[in-house]
Amino acid sequence: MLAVRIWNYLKGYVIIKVEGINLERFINLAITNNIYFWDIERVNFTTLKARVSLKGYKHLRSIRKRINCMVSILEKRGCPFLLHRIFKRKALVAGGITAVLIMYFLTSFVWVVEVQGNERIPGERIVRELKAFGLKPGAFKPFIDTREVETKLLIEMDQLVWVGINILGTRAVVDIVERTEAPPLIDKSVPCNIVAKKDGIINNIYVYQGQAAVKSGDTIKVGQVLINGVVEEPGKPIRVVHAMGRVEARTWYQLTEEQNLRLVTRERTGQMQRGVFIRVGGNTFRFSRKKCAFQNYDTETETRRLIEWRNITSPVELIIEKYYEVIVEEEFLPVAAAVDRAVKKTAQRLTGMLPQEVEITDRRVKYIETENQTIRVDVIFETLEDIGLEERININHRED
Amino acid sequence: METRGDLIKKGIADLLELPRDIVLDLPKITLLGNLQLYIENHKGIIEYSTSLVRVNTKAGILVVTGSCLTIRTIVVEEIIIVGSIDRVEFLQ
Repeated sequence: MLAVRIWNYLKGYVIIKVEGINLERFINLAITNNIYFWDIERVNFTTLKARVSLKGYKHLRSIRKRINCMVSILEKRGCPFLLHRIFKRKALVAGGITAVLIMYFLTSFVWVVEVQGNERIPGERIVRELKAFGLKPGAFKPFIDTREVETKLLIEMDQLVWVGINILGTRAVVDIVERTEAPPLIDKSVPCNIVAKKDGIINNIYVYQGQAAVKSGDTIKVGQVLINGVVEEPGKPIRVVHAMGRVEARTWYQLTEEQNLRLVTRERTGQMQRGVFIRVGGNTFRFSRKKCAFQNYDTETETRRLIEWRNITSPVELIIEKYYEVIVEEEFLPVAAAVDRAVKKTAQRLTGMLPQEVEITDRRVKYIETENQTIRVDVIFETLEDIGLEERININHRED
Repeated sequence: METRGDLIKKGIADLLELPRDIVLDLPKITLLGNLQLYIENHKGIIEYSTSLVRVNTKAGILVVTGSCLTIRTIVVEEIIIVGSIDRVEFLQ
């Protein structure tokens, strides 16, 4: 019914008043002539009010001649009349079109320059540099060659590794990646000590230059001097050198892993069902007919936005859920097997944690059974690594 | 009212289980509470006022009485009368 009313509104209709004696005949004649009437209302004995489509109204003329009655229009409704009225007001139409044109004109400029990804370099500095290359608020978009600006910026600023400029609507989003600076190398001519960068126990110490401050088997703490750059020998003046050497120490890495004794495996059977939802704003509506029939299943969710244009996203989302039927099996692991599993997992995690050139020499495993049928496994890896780190000696105060 | 031809048609409709409203050209009338009356296959309107509507059909004149009666839709095949309907009757 609503659809019919909308259709009538779009096509346009008139509310007419019919005055005459035999109005029933008027109606009968009209319908046999395929004139569509609706909402017929009797006002009094000689008067009738009805709605008739625009096309129907034109045909009414022939009937009016045959039957002695008067037809007058009370009201005109619908799109055609509305449009007619609007187009009569030329200034309004012109204003509307101008507004759209101005909007379009203004959107062809960059109004905001956003910098993302900078950590050390202040954003204002990048914005200032970009301004020199023509990317600034108020710049005309077709004149900006983003690729060119990117290369220019990269050449201008050494600290940047990568620059990506995207113009989204009136925003220019500048993504940058800063160069990670290498740790400062101390020149061979500059005096320095070798200090420990980690706790550990000295295994071997090879001194190429300088004086060993610790010996094998010593326990050391972070920052402790291992090879002294200040060489004091009896009978000779104190020399300050650039200490060099390799200090191998035993270090420890501890990892904790929890392992459930109840092992649940989920295996897909290959059966799959689909559920379609529509999310409008914050409300989700089911679109597909039935609910998922599986008892146990894994869900994969895929979200599609219906309209995605520049930086405008529609609030309507299509959500497709895929349900994969699974067979769930439970098994209880013996403690030894559970420990084994946990240790394997820690070994994997460790490879990501360890610095390079580290040798794993030993592994110790401790475990505690906790509640909920889980065990907590502590794995301690003993490793051998070079823990030396150069540290500049501040000579100034020695000369005083 | 019923002619020999009608009787034959009725017999055939019964025999073949055809819908009678189509074979006999009868009106199909649906009453929705006392709010709306839907007449399919009418033969024109005879009288219309807010308290009385007379509609010609093959089965006789259908008289609808009530108050605030208006014709929602009228086309060649159907009429929808809305309002507060008190009585619906056939006059031969």
